[in-house]
Amino acid sequence: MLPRCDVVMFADLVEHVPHPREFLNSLRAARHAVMLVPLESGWFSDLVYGYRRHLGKPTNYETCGHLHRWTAGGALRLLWAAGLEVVSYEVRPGKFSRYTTWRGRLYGGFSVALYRVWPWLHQRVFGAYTLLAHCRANQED
Amino acid sequence: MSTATLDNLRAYYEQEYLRNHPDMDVGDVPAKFEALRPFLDEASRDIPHGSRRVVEIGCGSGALLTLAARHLQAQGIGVDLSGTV
Repeated sequence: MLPRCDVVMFADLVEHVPHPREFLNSLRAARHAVMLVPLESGWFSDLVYGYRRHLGKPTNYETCGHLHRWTAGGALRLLWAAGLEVVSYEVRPGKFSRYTTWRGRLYGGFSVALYRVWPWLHQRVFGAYTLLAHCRANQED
Repeated sequence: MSTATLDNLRAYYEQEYLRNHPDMDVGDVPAKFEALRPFLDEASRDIPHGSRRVVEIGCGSGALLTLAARHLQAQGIGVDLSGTV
Protein backbone atom coordinates (compact mmCIF):
# COMPACT_ATOMS: atom_id res chain seq x y z
CA MET A 1 0.00 0.00 0.00
CA LEU A 2 1.33 3.42 -0.98
CA PRO A 3 2.16 5.76 1.95
CA ARG A 4 0.18 9.02 1.88
CA CYS A 5 2.10 11.52 -0.24
CA ASP A 6 1.91 14.36 -2.72
CA VAL A 7 4.43 13.02 -5.20
CA VAL A 8 5.43 9.43 -5.85
CA MET A 9 8.53 8.90 -7.96
CA PHE A 10 10.49 6.01 -9.37
CA ALA A 11 13.38 5.55 -11.76
CA ASP A 12 14.34 2.38 -13.66
CA LEU A 13 11.74 0.39 -11.76
CA VAL A 14 8.60 -0.44 -13.70
CA GLU A 15 10.41 -2.66 -16.24
CA HIS A 16 11.24 -4.98 -13.29
CA VAL A 17 7.65 -5.26 -12.05
CA PRO A 18 5.77 -8.45 -13.04
CA HIS A 19 2.39 -6.67 -13.38
CA PRO A 20 3.17 -3.09 -14.40
CA ARG A 21 -0.41 -2.03 -15.15
CA GLU A 22 -1.62 -2.99 -11.65
CA PHE A 23 1.44 -1.35 -10.14
CA LEU A 24 0.89 1.91 -12.02
CA ASN A 25 -2.81 1.88 -11.17
CA SER A 26 -1.95 1.70 -7.49
CA LEU A 27 -0.04 5.01 -7.84
CA ARG A 28 -3.34 6.83 -8.43
CA ALA A 29 -3.55 7.23 -4.65
CA ALA A 30 -0.84 9.90 -4.92
CA ARG A 31 -1.59 13.34 -6.37
CA HIS A 32 1.31 13.19 -8.79
CA ALA A 33 3.61 10.50 -10.19
CA VAL A 34 7.03 11.32 -11.68
CA MET A 35 8.92 8.56 -13.43
CA LEU A 36 11.89 7.51 -15.51
CA VAL A 37 11.23 4.49 -17.71
CA PRO A 38 13.83 2.89 -20.02
CA LEU A 39 12.60 2.31 -23.57
CA GLU A 40 14.51 -0.65 -24.94
CA SER A 41 12.20 -1.77 -27.70
CA GLY A 42 12.99 -1.00 -31.33
CA TRP A 43 12.67 -2.93 -34.59
CA PHE A 44 16.33 -3.89 -34.80
CA SER A 45 16.96 -4.11 -31.03
CA ASP A 46 13.97 -6.48 -30.69
CA LEU A 47 15.39 -8.67 -33.46
CA VAL A 48 18.78 -8.81 -31.69
CA TYR A 49 17.07 -9.44 -28.36
CA GLY A 50 15.02 -12.35 -29.75
CA TYR A 51 18.04 -13.79 -31.55
CA ARG A 52 20.19 -13.69 -28.39
CA ARG A 53 17.45 -15.32 -26.33
CA HIS A 54 17.05 -17.97 -29.03
CA LEU A 55 20.80 -18.72 -28.79
CA GLY A 56 20.68 -18.74 -24.99
CA LYS A 57 22.95 -15.68 -24.73
CA PRO A 58 22.33 -13.21 -21.89
CA THR A 59 20.11 -10.18 -22.48
CA ASN A 60 18.81 -7.47 -20.16
CA TYR A 61 16.20 -10.00 -19.07
CA GLU A 62 18.88 -12.16 -17.44
CA THR A 63 21.53 -9.58 -16.53
CA CYS A 64 19.27 -6.75 -15.32
CA GLY A 65 15.94 -8.43 -14.56
CA HIS A 66 14.11 -6.35 -17.17
CA LEU A 67 10.83 -8.21 -17.61
CA HIS A 68 9.36 -5.70 -20.08
CA ARG A 69 10.53 -3.76 -23.13
CA TRP A 70 8.59 -0.77 -24.39
CA THR A 71 8.61 1.81 -27.14
CA ALA A 72 7.67 5.36 -26.18
CA GLY A 73 4.15 4.82 -27.55
CA GLY A 74 3.79 1.50 -25.74
CA ALA A 75 4.84 3.01 -22.40
CA LEU A 76 2.46 5.98 -22.82
CA ARG A 77 -0.42 3.62 -23.69
CA LEU A 78 0.37 1.58 -20.58
CA LEU A 79 0.17 4.71 -18.40
CA TRP A 80 -3.19 5.61 -19.94
CA ALA A 81 -4.49 2.05 -19.49
CA ALA A 82 -3.44 2.16 -15.83
CA GLY A 83 -5.67 5.19 -15.28
CA LEU A 84 -2.93 7.82 -15.27
CA GLU A 85 -3.17 11.07 -17.18
CA VAL A 86 0.17 12.13 -18.66
CA VAL A 87 0.59 15.82 -17.85
CA SER A 88 3.97 16.15 -19.58
CA TYR A 89 6.66 13.87 -20.91
CA GLU A 90 9.97 13.80 -22.74
CA VAL A 91 11.74 11.03 -24.62
CA ARG A 92 15.54 11.24 -24.42
CA PRO A 93 18.21 9.17 -26.15
CA GLY A 94 20.41 7.07 -23.89
CA LYS A 95 24.19 6.94 -23.96
CA PHE A 96 25.78 5.62 -27.13
CA SER A 97 27.90 2.59 -26.32
CA ARG A 98 31.57 2.33 -27.29
CA TYR A 99 32.31 -0.83 -29.24
CA THR A 100 35.63 -2.60 -29.65
CA THR A 101 34.87 -5.21 -32.34
CA TRP A 102 34.52 -4.27 -36.01
CA ARG A 103 30.92 -5.50 -36.02
CA GLY A 104 30.20 -3.41 -32.94
CA ARG A 105 31.81 -0.34 -34.48
CA LEU A 106 29.80 -0.82 -37.64
CA TYR A 107 26.61 -1.11 -35.58
CA GLY A 108 27.52 1.88 -33.39
CA GLY A 109 28.54 4.02 -36.36
CA PHE A 110 25.30 3.31 -38.18
CA SER A 111 23.34 4.05 -35.00
CA VAL A 112 24.99 7.44 -34.46
CA ALA A 113 24.66 8.37 -38.15
CA LEU A 114 20.95 7.52 -38.19
CA TYR A 115 20.39 9.47 -34.97
CA ARG A 116 21.98 12.56 -36.51
CA VAL A 117 20.03 12.27 -39.76
CA TRP A 118 16.64 11.05 -38.59
CA PRO A 119 16.16 10.87 -34.77
CA TRP A 120 12.57 9.58 -34.98
CA LEU A 121 13.59 6.61 -37.13
CA HIS A 122 16.61 5.97 -34.88
CA GLN A 123 14.29 5.65 -31.88
CA ARG A 124 12.00 3.21 -33.72
CA VAL A 125 14.92 1.08 -34.97
CA PHE A 126 17.34 0.99 -32.03
CA GLY A 127 15.35 1.78 -28.87
CA ALA A 128 17.69 2.59 -25.94
CA TYR A 129 15.78 5.75 -25.03
CA THR A 130 14.33 7.00 -21.76
CA LEU A 131 10.81 8.22 -21.02
CA LEU A 132 10.52 10.95 -18.40
CA ALA A 133 6.94 11.69 -17.39
CA HIS A 134 4.74 13.52 -14.92
CA CYS A 135 1.31 11.91 -14.45
CA ARG A 136 -1.71 12.31 -12.25
CA ALA A 137 -4.78 10.18 -11.66
CA ASN A 138 -7.22 10.33 -14.55
CA GLN A 139 -10.33 11.96 -13.08
CA GLU A 140 -12.59 10.35 -15.70
CA ASP A 141 -11.98 6.84 -14.30
CA MET B 1 1.25 -10.38 -5.95
CA SER B 2 1.88 -13.66 -4.16
CA THR B 3 4.41 -13.96 -1.34
CA ALA B 4 6.38 -16.56 -3.33
CA THR B 5 6.81 -14.13 -6.25
CA LEU B 6 7.95 -11.35 -3.93
CA ASP B 7 10.42 -13.69 -2.23
CA ASN B 8 11.81 -14.76 -5.62
CA LEU B 9 12.19 -11.14 -6.73
CA ARG B 10 13.83 -10.14 -3.46
CA ALA B 11 16.25 -13.05 -3.68
CA TYR B 12 17.13 -12.19 -7.28
CA TYR B 13 17.87 -8.51 -6.53
CA GLU B 14 19.70 -9.13 -3.26
CA GLN B 15 21.99 -11.74 -4.80
CA GLU B 16 22.43 -11.84 -8.58
CA TYR B 17 21.48 -8.25 -9.44
CA LEU B 18 23.66 -6.62 -6.79
CA ARG B 19 26.56 -8.85 -7.83
CA ASN B 20 26.23 -7.69 -11.45
CA HIS B 21 25.54 -4.03 -10.55
CA PRO B 22 27.43 -3.16 -7.34
CA ASP B 23 27.02 0.60 -7.97
CA MET B 24 23.46 0.26 -9.23
CA ASP B 25 21.98 3.29 -7.53
CA VAL B 26 24.98 5.51 -7.04
CA GLY B 27 26.78 6.13 -10.34
CA ASP B 28 24.04 7.67 -12.43
CA VAL B 29 21.93 9.23 -9.67
CA PRO B 30 22.96 12.87 -10.37
CA ALA B 31 22.08 12.46 -14.07
CA LYS B 32 18.73 10.86 -13.22
CA PHE B 33 17.94 13.65 -10.79
CA GLU B 34 18.78 16.34 -13.34
CA ALA B 35 16.53 14.60 -15.88
CA LEU B 36 13.64 14.31 -13.42
CA ARG B 37 14.01 17.74 -11.81
CA PRO B 38 11.75 19.71 -14.21
CA PHE B 39 9.01 17.09 -13.79
CA LEU B 40 9.36 17.15 -9.98
CA ASP B 41 9.14 20.96 -10.07
CA GLU B 42 6.01 20.78 -12.19
CA ALA B 43 4.39 18.15 -9.95
CA SER B 44 5.07 20.05 -6.74
CA ARG B 45 4.19 23.51 -8.04
CA ASP B 46 0.77 23.65 -6.36
CA ILE B 47 1.86 21.99 -3.10
CA PRO B 48 2.90 24.44 -0.37
CA HIS B 49 6.41 24.23 1.08
CA GLY B 50 6.59 22.59 4.47
CA SER B 51 3.82 20.09 3.84
CA ARG B 52 5.29 18.23 0.89
CA ARG B 53 5.80 14.49 1.05
CA VAL B 54 7.60 12.60 -1.68
CA VAL B 55 7.75 8.82 -1.84
CA GLU B 56 10.27 6.93 -3.97
CA ILE B 57 9.46 3.33 -4.81
CA GLY B 58 12.53 1.16 -5.35
CA CYS B 59 14.70 3.75 -3.58
CA GLY B 60 17.76 1.51 -3.05
CA SER B 61 20.23 3.45 -0.89
CA GLY B 62 17.98 6.54 -1.08
CA ALA B 63 20.50 8.69 -2.98
CA LEU B 64 17.97 9.87 -5.58
CA LEU B 65 15.26 10.37 -2.96
CA THR B 66 17.63 12.47 -0.84
CA LEU B 67 18.36 14.79 -3.77
CA ALA B 68 14.67 15.05 -4.69
CA ALA B 69 13.45 15.67 -1.13
CA ARG B 70 16.14 18.29 -0.53
CA HIS B 71 15.32 20.04 -3.81
CA LEU B 72 11.56 20.05 -3.14
CA GLN B 73 12.03 20.89 0.56
CA ALA B 74 9.87 17.86 1.23
CA GLN B 75 9.72 14.97 3.62
CA GLY B 76 11.13 11.92 1.80
CA ILE B 77 9.92 8.37 2.29
CA GLY B 78 11.71 5.49 0.58
CA VAL B 79 10.21 2.10 -0.19
CA ASP B 80 12.28 -0.86 -1.36
CA LEU B 81 11.75 -4.57 -1.70
CA SER B 82 15.28 -5.34 -0.61
CA GLY B 83 16.49 -4.99 2.94
CA THR B 84 20.17 -5.03 1.99
CA VAL B 85 20.58 -1.94 -0.21
